Amino acid sequence: MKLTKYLPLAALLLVPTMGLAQDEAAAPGFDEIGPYIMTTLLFMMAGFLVFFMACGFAMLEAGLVRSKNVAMQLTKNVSLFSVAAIMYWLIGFNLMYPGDGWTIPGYVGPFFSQTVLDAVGVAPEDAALDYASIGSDFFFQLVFVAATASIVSGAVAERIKLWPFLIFVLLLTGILYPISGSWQWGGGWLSEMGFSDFAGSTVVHSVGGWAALAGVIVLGPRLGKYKDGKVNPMPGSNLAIATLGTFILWLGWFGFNGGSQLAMGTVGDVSDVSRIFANTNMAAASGAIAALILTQLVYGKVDLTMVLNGALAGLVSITAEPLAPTLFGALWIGAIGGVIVVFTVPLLDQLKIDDVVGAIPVHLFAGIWGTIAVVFYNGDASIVTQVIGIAAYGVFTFVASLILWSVLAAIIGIRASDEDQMEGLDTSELGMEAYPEFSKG
Amino acid sequence: MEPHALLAPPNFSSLATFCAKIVQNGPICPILHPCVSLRPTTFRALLPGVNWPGRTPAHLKGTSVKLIIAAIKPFKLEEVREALTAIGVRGMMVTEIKGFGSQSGHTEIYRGAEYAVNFVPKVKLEVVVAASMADQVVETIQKTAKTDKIGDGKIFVLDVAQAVRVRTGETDDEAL
Repeated sequence: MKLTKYLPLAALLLVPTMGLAQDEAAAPGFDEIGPYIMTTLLFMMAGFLVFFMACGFAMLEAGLVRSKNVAMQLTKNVSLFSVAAIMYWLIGFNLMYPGDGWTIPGYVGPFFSQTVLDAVGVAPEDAALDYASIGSDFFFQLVFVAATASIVSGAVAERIKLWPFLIFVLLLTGILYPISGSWQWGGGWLSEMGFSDFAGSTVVHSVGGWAALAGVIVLGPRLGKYKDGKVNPMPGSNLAIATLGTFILWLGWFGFNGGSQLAMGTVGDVSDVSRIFANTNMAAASGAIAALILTQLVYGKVDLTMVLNGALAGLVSITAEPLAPTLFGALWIGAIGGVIVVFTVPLLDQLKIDDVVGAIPVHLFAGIWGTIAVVFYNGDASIVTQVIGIAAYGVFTFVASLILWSVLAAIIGIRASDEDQMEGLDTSELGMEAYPEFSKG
Repeated sequence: MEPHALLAPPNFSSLATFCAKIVQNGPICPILHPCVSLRPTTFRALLPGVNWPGRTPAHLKGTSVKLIIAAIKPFKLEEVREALTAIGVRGMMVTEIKGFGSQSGHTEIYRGAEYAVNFVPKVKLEVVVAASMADQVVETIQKTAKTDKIGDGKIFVLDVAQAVRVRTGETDDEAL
């Protein structure tokens, strides 16, 4: 049976309806509301892709910690996301996007200003037709701040106590990240200066990396990690889970970078989103391949955990400018990210900085590289401004985090005791195990 | 009288003591000697279900059954199992183990840091067989598990003091 048989009937049904619509002359046409609808849709779809990155981080970290700390790592991941979600509503969103409500113009937005959504069934004239709905924008930005907090949890894994960690996450997601984020994405002083960070190589990833670095320094390495001047590797519990986590992050990154186009109402915008998808994917692939080849050449065997880190470093590298580069540009920018990982992971070990999952090389070092790499394909960016931006985020986040971690360490203590670490945080802090039928790892 | 007492087997304790004496002192009937092996199990098997008093005399312990422990390369396990089954071995125990011998350990690299693997994965095979079969089993394992490379493993042969089949109570080589 062909549907075309029913077309005349459908037309008959439609005619009176269309007549009614014409009577209500006030209803806006698609030209007016189309971009709003499409951009809102972009934020919602990109938002749930980035949301899924919370799962990616959780799986990656669960796979790279030892089995006696897996349940704790998962607990931290689900808790940090939830803390971030609440803090971003309570303070973060308006602090990061102050509009006209700056406390110190260009530097600090309003505190204690909660997010308010659009009214139920909002009328077109009350909606931000040149942008998107508040709900979609809020949700899309909130999943970014959660990514920053996830970066920290991976680096400080296996020896940080749960509650001090969550207090840090609360302050990072509610205050630190929104303040520094407002400098660029909130229309603050760095964006005025011409700093360019498309989807957050610096604003999101480096910030997470700096906070993680400060945490790792205050916290110290895992018990037994560095003994008699030698590095004692602690292989991860489940590389299948770590690989799954990496692929989930890779998938989520299409939302992370694609959604950061912040518009999908025109041919140009929607094509740009697709361009970003292709470049993002290319950078991940080349980062992975760079790490694959390099570990074979340098160490004589391929190291899967480095290949996973390499893919993520490629993604972080392209995040500052995923739109302008050609596919070849994305390839070499991502590949350098992968190279950075292979060389800086052992470097951190030499400095006795114990980063369990490689969060600092991937998010901080590759983030800095990606922010510099913007100048190669984006003619509007200057190397001086990029470096000023990187330094500003670095100094602010690192110093503020260092203070926060130190205060937490002094007041309640952040490091699990040697005995608790030996037993594993799963049993010592949670009283449960991720894999209870297996022997202790 | 309680019901289960009615079902209890007749009391063979005197006969059992008699048999145990034979075992202890060696064969009393020269005619019996060439045709029947006078190990305790031979007698006990004649009277299944009997609770034999005492245990096998000390001087006979461990002479009838041997335990062969072999640590071999894990990938050889299936081949060894097939070879042993082929020569009539009816059971074995297998454990995944780690250890080191003359192969010692080796080094690996994880995330750019070299570390020593002091214990190498192996499979431990435990086979309990009649003493008469032990040499053949050892030879079979040795030939099958051999790769001519360092780390092929070790075989140890031990006397077994006693073997008991849980289901029937049969002992020593009858239990295998």
